[in-house]
Amino acid sequence: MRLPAFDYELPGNLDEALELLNTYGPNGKILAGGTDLLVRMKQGLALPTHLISLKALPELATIRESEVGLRIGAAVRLRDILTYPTLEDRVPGFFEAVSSIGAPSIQHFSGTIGGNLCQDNRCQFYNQSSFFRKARQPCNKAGGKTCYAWEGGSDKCYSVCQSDAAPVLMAMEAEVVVRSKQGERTMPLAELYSSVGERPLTLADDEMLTEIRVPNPGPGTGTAFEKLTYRSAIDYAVLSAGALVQTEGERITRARLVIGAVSRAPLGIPTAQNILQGRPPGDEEALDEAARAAANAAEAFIANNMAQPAEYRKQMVSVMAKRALSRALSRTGMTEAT
Amino acid sequence: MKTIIQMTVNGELVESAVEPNRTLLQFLREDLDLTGTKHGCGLGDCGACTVILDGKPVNSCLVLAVQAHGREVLTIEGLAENGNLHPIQQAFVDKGAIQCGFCTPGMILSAKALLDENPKPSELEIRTAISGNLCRCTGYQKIVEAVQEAATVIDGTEVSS
Ligand SMILES: Cc1cc2nc3c(=O)[nH]c(=O)nc-3n(C[C@H](O)[C@H](O)[C@H](O)COP(=O)(O)OP(=O)(O)OC[C@H]3O[C@@H](n4cnc5c(N)ncnc54)[C@H](O)[C@@H]3O)c2cc1C
Ligand code: FES
Ligand code: FES
Repeated sequence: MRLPAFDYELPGNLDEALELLNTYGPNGKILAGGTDLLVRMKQGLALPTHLISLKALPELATIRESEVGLRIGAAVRLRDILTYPTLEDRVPGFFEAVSSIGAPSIQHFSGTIGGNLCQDNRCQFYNQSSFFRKARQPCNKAGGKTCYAWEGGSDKCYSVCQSDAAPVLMAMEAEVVVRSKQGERTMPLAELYSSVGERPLTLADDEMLTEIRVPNPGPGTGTAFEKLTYRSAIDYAVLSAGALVQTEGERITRARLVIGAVSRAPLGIPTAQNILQGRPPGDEEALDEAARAAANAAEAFIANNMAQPAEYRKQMVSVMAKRALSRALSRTGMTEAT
Repeated sequence: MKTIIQMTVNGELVESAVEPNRTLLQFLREDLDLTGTKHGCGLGDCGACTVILDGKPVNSCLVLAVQAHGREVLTIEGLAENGNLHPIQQAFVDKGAIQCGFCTPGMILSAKALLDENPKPSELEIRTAISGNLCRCTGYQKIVEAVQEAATVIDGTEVSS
């Protein structure tokens, strides 16, 4: 499969990159590892006239420590996150999520964390060759007026955010730094996602992600990520769940649960906090209740957008949610012990 | 617009003018005639196009040739020395790890990247290292055995020399 024609830009510093983004607007796309973008370009799903490479911007490819946590440059490769000293012990849920992306032997050496968070939403009717797609009218995401993933069609796009890093980072209340020629803003990661399938990010055309801020979980806090796939590598998630749980004494004080690969954006389950707060860590019934709340919230979004049956995915939400919460909970002792 | 690129391919410096939309895979196969690197899916799924770029395995179908400018590429053609197969290649032959052979160049390069970094991998580490390389023929078992065999051979030669 050949790539359509484009011009290649290799800015030597961040200001130059922002200037180029500003100049080309919707026709310019950032090329980080290219493992999402180049595939879509080969399939005719993205046709930028200019690719702006992050290859010569070392300032975006470093991990720094701050008082409150890690500051990870947007162009840091997945492999460099996994080999960063102490990261696995400090934030095991984030480590699990990054480990699970694509094939560790291959995508991890090219793919970046910024590219992971900014990858386009996916759907089995959309992420296909143009030959495949030509058999029907274009769907909402392809500029048409229907959705094949929703029975009977829909004026909404039911594509799915497939970033594996996003759910657990959202559960950890990570922030992202966004830059444009005009300036800089910092916002919760959750606000990067628009919940609009056709255009899943809230970034303007001239904006880019420069940094991801991952707070230290703090004492008595555990994190976990669970991913359901058919194969243990290469596959995108059929469903996933990221969780953060904090305990104090014999009570849960904080519980964050985010379900991935169900909706247009990672799906936060705020009721998990209400259900779990104040309950003892050994309270199985409490975990089941939170998991059921997740399944109820997710149900409305699960469409026929993957090869796996929607009914199966609906059944599995509570399973994945409970597993993530239990494992995060089992880790709440670890930070205190060290 | 064409750009002049330079890179080291299998130890030799090459220079060429390429269009930005040329992938490293096309550049190797079509411009340099190094057809040992295979074109499977073109989408990052199969690993047939795996080459080693600055010591790391990558899908050459998802790397632009211009992105490899100034870097070092190793393809399957660069493994044999003076007509002698590399120990990993030899082990693949000896262990029956090759059937149709389409996945073999990518498999061997993923295995090489692993053994360069981790000379005594566990079975799980081997399976993880080749998890981005699909094989439709062998069922993987003989490939894993070949990598284990190669690890022993390479380790042995290093001790004795
Ligand atoms: C076989 C295969 C399996 C995969 N499996 C998974 C999986 O299991 N889970 C998963 O999450 N992903 C998966 N991916 C997708 C992808 O490999 C990863 O998400 C990867 O981390 C993307 O990073 P990248 O640097 O290659 O992104 P790119 O392709 O370079 O970029 C992705 C998108 O984000 C934009 N972008 C990149 N950087 C920035 C930035 N700093 N600011 C603003 N926009 C930016 C680009 O313009 C592009 O639109 C898979 C891909 C393949 C080919
Ligand atoms: S041809 Fe590159 S991964 Fe299949
Ligand atoms: S030997 Fe045929 S694909 Fe592996």
